[in-house]
Amino acid sequence: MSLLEVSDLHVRVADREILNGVNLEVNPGEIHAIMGPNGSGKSTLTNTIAGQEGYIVENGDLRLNGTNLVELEPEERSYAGLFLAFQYPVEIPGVTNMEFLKTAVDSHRKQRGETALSSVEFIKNMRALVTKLDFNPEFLKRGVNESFSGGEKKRNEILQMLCLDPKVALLDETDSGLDIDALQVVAKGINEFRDSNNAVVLVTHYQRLLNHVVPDYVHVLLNGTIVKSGDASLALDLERMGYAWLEQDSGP
Amino acid sequence: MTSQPVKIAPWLDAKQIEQTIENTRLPQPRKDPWKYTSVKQVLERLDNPFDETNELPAQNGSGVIIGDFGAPKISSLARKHVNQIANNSNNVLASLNLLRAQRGYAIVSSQRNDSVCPMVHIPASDSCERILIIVQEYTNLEILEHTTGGNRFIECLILPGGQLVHRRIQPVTTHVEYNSLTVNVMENSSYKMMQYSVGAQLRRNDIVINIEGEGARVDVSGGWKLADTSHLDTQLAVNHRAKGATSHQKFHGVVGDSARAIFNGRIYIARNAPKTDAHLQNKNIATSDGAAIFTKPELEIYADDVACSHGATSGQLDEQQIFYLRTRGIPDDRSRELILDGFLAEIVEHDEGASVLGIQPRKVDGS
Repeated sequence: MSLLEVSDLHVRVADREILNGVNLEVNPGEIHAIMGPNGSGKSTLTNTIAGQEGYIVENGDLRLNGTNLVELEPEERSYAGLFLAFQYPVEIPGVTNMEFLKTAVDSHRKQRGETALSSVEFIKNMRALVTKLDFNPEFLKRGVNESFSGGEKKRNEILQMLCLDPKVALLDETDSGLDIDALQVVAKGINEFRDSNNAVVLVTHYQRLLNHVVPDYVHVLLNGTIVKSGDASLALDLERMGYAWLEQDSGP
Repeated sequence: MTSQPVKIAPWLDAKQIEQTIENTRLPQPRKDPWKYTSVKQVLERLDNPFDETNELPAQNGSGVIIGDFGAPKISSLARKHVNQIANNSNNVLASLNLLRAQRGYAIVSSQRNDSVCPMVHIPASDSCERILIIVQEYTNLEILEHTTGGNRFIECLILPGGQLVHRRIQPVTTHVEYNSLTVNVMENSSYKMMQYSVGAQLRRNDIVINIEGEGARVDVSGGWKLADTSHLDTQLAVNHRAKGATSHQKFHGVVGDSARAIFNGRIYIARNAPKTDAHLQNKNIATSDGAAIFTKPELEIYADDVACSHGATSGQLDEQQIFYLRTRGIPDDRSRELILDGFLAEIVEHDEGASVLGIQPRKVDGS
């Protein structure tokens, strides 16, 4: 069974139909990259899968590990094994990163019928993870994303992903706005996460992250549908030729 | 008012009583500073004669003198400062307090501020109270104050180089409560105040801070979490009357059910107060449709070369923040709670404040 199955997905936001028939199948152990110009529907796809309010599924199906996601609340999708790394991670002043991460992990444990971790145990685990990823431990004491740099916010998304250990991680432009060092740290985190039982879907504008995290499949999203799929070499073609040649192919 | 004959404060002379009665004016209803709280209601409900059994506050550590206004080490200070620090010529509640308070007491610090700071606890009381606090030169003092329904009137003088930390805790009460606090801050002294409030039938806090000496530092913060039909009205005025002083004011409030929060924060900078650094901020989150928030920051500047800012906001919980937490598996209600707790945690500096506001003390901080 595939881990993530998107079939004939039509999504409306307010009065506009943004996605019109997206199909995507992601199997365990795979890395998929979704590329496409601005306004093609990339963020609509990730927000819809994560359950953002206002993204109305008009038609089609969304399944994670066989579970139908469409009717589930965002937290239930998280319990089902979904993780979305936000393009613009949200600041939550006054809530420390450690407190936030512990609340999230404890919520998952509760759902699985496990008891909450002790603070000492949790802090120990987090310290080990942070060190492994070359993050500054100070990171954990600060307010969630509060006055974090762009790079720090994206690293924080990766940290959350590793903490929650989802089945499918959707990374929405996690590479944008990163300098070379931060890009390598993020790539290291993704490679650390991936194994033969989970899957990663990278939504990106650029080829450069794909030099560090090599995708098995590359899909091009244009005007709300996937117009072309291929292997990693497709990303290199796009980098060289842009999207115009596909736009003509997919014309009305 | 009770039907018993009212005993007039025995420690006032006839002339003071006469002057007080003569000068007392009823404020204009429905106009600032009584625009959202009925002064009539406060006067009618605030029936709290002086309770003669009240004990003097407890102190923790040496270096403080506490005594009645008539006590030997206090009486000369009381004569000099009581009713002199606060300018209440037109405040009817102040006059009422002055005339009804059968006894007043003073807290005078004598511990040098390089030694361990003594702590004095002013307990809650529903009676009419009058308190004088004197922080002597280069001494320090910490006050922990609880209020629950009463007419309390505090006058405070911080002499040059003195340091006062004042924590005010306002728990739930079904009473009407009026608190008046006036603090005169002298040269190079500091006043740090934290006020944490939850519901009351009607609670009014008038706070006036007069900066009278160069280089003084004032830091006032507070938070409220109101539910049911609670009514909280905080009127804060910081008057800069000397140069090179700093004042920071920061208040965060969460207002739910049909509660009302009123905040008026005013910074006044006199002509003789250049190089002032003054900032005031009030943020509110309403968690229900029935909640009401009236907030107004005011800034009045007559001096050149000052750094000032003021701002006030009222809004609802940010849906994007809630969504973010929910995608991490934190349920909707817990997400809201976490965001509100964090919002209040930004102004809470100690466990007692966290406890009265009902938020989790910061346990998991990564340290």
